[in-house]
Amino acid sequence: MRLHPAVTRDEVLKWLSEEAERLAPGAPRSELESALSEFAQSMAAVSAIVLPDTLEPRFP
Amino acid sequence: MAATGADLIHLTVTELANAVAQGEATPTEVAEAYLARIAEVETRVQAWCYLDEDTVRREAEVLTAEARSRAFRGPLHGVPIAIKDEFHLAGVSTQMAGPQPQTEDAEVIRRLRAAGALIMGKTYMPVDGVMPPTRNPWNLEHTAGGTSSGSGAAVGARMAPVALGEQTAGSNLRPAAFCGVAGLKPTFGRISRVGCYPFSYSHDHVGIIGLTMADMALLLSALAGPDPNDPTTLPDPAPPADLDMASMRPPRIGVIRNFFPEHTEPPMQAAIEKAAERMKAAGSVVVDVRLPEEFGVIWDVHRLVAGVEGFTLYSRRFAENPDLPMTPRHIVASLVPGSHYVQAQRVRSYLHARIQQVFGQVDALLLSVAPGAAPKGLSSTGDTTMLIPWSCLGYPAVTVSGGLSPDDLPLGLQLVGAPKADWELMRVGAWAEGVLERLPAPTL
Repeated sequence: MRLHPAVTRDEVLKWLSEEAERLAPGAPRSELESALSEFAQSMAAVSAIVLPDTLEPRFP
Repeated sequence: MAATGADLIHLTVTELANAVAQGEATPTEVAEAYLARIAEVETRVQAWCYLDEDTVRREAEVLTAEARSRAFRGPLHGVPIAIKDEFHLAGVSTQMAGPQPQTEDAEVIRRLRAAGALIMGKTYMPVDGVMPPTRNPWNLEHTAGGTSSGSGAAVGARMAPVALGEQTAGSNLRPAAFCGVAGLKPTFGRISRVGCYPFSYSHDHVGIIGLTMADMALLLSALAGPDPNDPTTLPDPAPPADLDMASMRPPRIGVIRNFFPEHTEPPMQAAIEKAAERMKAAGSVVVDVRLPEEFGVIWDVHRLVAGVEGFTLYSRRFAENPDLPMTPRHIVASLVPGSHYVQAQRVRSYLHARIQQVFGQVDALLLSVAPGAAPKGLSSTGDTTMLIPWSCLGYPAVTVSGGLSPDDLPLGLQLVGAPKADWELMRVGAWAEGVLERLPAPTL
């Protein structure tokens, strides 16, 4: 899954859904939908933020 | 006249410590008062997952003998404290970590014992998604909040004068607020996490739940300070216990007007406005604050960082316990690419620097702890929306009383401070306590 150019929620949701199906084929889709949607939204939102190239990540 | 017997449970930590130091009460008398209170209300509140009265009495007797010979261990000599089950207690199991007894105390417990505190027992928290039986002492049909559920309820019901909790999203301040008492989530790294069951490397904060800011400042002075075994701890010494309120002037308060009001229920919004008016009338400069638009991504940052880190921490448990189901959140978090996790941490770095600029204008930000009072039912510990940003950024935050809701449940307000300004924030909180007044103990 690319980071830049920014990904859209729908792109991420499609990719995550396919990967989740591969990882956990038996998991009820209805239970996964909320988590898939939320994480797709978050990944798209974070990838859309423009940051200075030199900005270091903040690890604990 | 010094408090005795059952009245002891209504004293603050500061008052209890002074009573023991002055010989007005023995640690044994204090312990017996709280054990009696526990016997009176625990079957209804269900805060304690581990309580060995014989051990408590034995340790209280040792502390009493030391007090009689004036051999006080430290500023908390004889003060009972409740410990969230998340913290390892030697000889006792930590439910999240499995049935085997832990071999060592968590660092925070070691420091509490060194300060003379009496470890009463361990308090309930959700375990693997199973909600605890803990009920809100203000209304037993309502949640006590969580995940520091038992700690909030124990202090709220006066079964302990102070408790340890932990916050990764909203888990320390929410139960404090829901149970009508004070809470502190300090700056990230202020208190060692050695021996605390982990949920997120970047977001786990040891927290305190107590009756007053002064009490929590006293606890913080004993708990904080660098730990060579926890590289995330700040190198700074612990803040002083004395909040020096004689020098305190009315603070500058910034009421946040974007992002949060849309999640705030009308009674809670009214409590915020009323508190702002009262603080203004008491001399505070109260201004409206609008956080930068980029602040809106903070909840996404927390989801990605906490989700990936949580899965990382849980992955061994899943491998060793095939019967332990992966939650949908864990499944999806395990799929987040490393590049997206790192980018989220870069955004976190950016926001940490960007948002703290607001503290050039104000001493503390004011908002609520939760959308409203504690929800009815025990199937959820409540909403974390108001708390997640400060857990993600690592800024210190406290809760003070906003009064009661129309159905007589506590409304908790939140004050947020600049990074590392824990002592300054507690001074603001103590000043606010004086203006807004603390809630009394609930009738159980």
